[in-house]
Amino acid sequence: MSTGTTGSGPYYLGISTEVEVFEAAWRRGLPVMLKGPTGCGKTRLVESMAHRFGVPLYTVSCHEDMTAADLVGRFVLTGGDTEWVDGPLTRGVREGGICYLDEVVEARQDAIVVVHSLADHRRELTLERLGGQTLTAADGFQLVVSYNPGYQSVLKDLKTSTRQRMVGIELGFPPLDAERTIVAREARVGDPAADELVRFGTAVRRARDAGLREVASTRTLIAAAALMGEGLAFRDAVIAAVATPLTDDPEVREGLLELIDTYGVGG
Amino acid sequence: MAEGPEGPGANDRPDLRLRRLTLLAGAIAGRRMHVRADDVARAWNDRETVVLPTAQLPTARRTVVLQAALVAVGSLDSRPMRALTRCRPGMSDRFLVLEAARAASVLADLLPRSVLSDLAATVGDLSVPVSVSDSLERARSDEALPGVPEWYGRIRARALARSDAEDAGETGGVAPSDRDHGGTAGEQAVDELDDEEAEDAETGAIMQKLQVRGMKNPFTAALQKLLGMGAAPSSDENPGAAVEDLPVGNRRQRRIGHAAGRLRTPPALASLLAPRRPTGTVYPEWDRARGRYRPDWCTVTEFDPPSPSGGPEDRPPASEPDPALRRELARLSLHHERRRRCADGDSLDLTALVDHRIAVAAGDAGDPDVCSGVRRTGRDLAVLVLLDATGSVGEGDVFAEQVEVAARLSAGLEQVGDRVATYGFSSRGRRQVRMLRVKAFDDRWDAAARRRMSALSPSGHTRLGAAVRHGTHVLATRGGTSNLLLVVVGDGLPHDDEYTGVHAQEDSRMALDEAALGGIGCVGISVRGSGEPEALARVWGEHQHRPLGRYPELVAHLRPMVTAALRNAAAGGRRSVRARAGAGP
Repeated sequence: MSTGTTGSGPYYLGISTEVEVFEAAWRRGLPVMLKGPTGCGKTRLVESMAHRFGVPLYTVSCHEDMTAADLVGRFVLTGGDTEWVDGPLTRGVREGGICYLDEVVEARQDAIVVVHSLADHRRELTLERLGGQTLTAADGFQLVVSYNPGYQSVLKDLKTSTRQRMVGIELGFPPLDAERTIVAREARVGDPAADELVRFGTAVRRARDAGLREVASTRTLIAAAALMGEGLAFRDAVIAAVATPLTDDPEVREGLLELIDTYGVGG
Repeated sequence: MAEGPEGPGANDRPDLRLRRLTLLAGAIAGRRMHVRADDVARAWNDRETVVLPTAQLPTARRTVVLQAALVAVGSLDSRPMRALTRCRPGMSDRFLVLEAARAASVLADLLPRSVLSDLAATVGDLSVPVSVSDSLERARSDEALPGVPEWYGRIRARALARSDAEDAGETGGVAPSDRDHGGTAGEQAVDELDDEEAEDAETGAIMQKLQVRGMKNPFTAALQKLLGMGAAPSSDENPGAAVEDLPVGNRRQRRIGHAAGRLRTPPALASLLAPRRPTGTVYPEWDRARGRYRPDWCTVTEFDPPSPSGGPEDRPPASEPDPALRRELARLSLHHERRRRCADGDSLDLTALVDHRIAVAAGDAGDPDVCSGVRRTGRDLAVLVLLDATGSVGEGDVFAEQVEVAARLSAGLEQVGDRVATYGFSSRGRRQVRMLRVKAFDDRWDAAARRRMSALSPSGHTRLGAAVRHGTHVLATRGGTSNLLLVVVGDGLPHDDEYTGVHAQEDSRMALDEAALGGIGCVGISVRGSGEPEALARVWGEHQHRPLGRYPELVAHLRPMVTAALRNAAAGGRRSVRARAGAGP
């Protein structure tokens, strides 16, 4: 287990070998694919790595209407003339930064194929709109994508040709001890409160088929802990930060309240 | 944990309380579990359902946690349970104490700290068993162990000794299983039983000895009759059904051969007697009692509605859609389309750019919209409106309002450019399910369609399952878009000849689930709520259904309902089917 990053950089506590794999991939210029449930720390890992490498980070939150031009760049009209403006991917390529495509499966596949030539041995980006100009990625450039395999609809998945260009890192929710440390540190609360929250979160994650859209992620537990740090009771904080965002179904909510009360009595 | 009621919610109505405890049990067990209350002295579970003493409901949390934890750590697997049935009385309580200690240690990272401390108080300095077999061994030994606190509940080893607990949730008792027939029945010692179990087990043991598959002898038959376990007299219109599915004890013999028990009248005679009807499409029907489909059970036939007797103005034609409804409909199911001359977009529209440059060169300001981009503006939705044209929706006002809803929907959808078809449906028994074609997908919503709509009059009954299956078929074969939607306008409740109650409701629900699995969103709209919310819940479950007081409510609720239905369908109906799987005891 590697130690958490320190100093002024974003805090990330390594659970397995993900930090080592990420570092090795960056040194060799290999693109990385982060898989894991929402709120388990994918984005935080990338932020922490960019800080550690000392390179700029360009984050793109992918969505259905995103096009290749949103990544590469486009002409805009200034006065009577058109002017080319680099997109985040092109800037990353020119400056040698990390380009992070968050929730990459949300984007349509024809928008994603532009990264193919960057994601293999060529490491170059062709700008068709600039007359086929080809940019070779500067040192330090790395493509990172993330997605949540369970969340999106089955119809949306990454193309095999895109997937096999990537080094995969699978993240899950951290084990109890690590998650307790993370929650306590991020929310600046004491260990007992963090412990009870993390137990509760583990229980929610085990409640399969309960009709929950998502489970209680590390992020939501940190939010609940932060509310507790501001003086809210366990029950109120967990309802606000976990139960209410998780479900609209009255029956599931009642079940969650029962779970909250079961865990809340010792906290 | 305190002995008093457990804070907020603890003193709720029992049914609400049980529903609240269900998620807790599932979270601890790591699998779906049910919770129910019964008139028992101590709580127990059969790996699927935690049974709580009714009186203990307000303080049941730690009991539920422990019982579910036993499931999670495998204490109640069939192997140790079979071993336990062979032990002397009192052994299961000693086993429970040991396994509770093991569960507390294995699940130390999961269980609430309050329950962990309650467990620790009981266990004291007992050394924690390392495995189930260790617990078994120590339970059999003469080691001194603490007694079982009341709140632990108990282990009913006999009920758990079976490998598959599939119907244990229903019966809660001992029913012979495949394994028992396989020769393990001899393992069932009768030394550690309470009264209710002993009675069940005795009957079970006798019946097992008599139930040899495929064997029939007069003694068996007489005894089965005496114990009420023979074939029930068939209430089916098909007397052959008794033969095709002969229950023997708790087992069922499947009929042999596809055509067994199907013919009633010689075919030649039948063809003379039966009135000539247009050939239809046959669909299966879900038989809940037997847990399987009745193949080729219903015949659905499409008709054009009878011509109106009077002139075209027999009844006023359905009114035009109002702008509010059209606005809602316009926002449904769009797909991407390339648009030119946009203010913003991923590339330049060269024609627009040249125009702009010329205008600027000529001293004009020019049109700055020179981009082209992809926008979600294309229509990609096919809707089948199924109007319940049966007696059950009642005469007069209610039916007229439902016709109006169906008509406005059809008109509105056509105006915004979606593909829409409209059918009325009614039935008289399973062979006469009639689909009245008001508008097919390729027809216009014109005066003729409006006349056909107004010619509908309520008659017959509602075989909802068959109508939905035919609707699914029509959409899948003639819809032609990637988003498909089935809208049922009616009271949403099935009723037909030999199609009533739970059977009809379960079949209708199954038909809706099939549609969702096939990628078709299902929405039910009834004007004026029926007085049977439970039946409606059984039919529609997780599918979108809403009783509307009056037509204007439709506008407010339509889009969220349709969006949710299409989302469910896009997920392959997972939500509705999952909810169904969870519809337990």
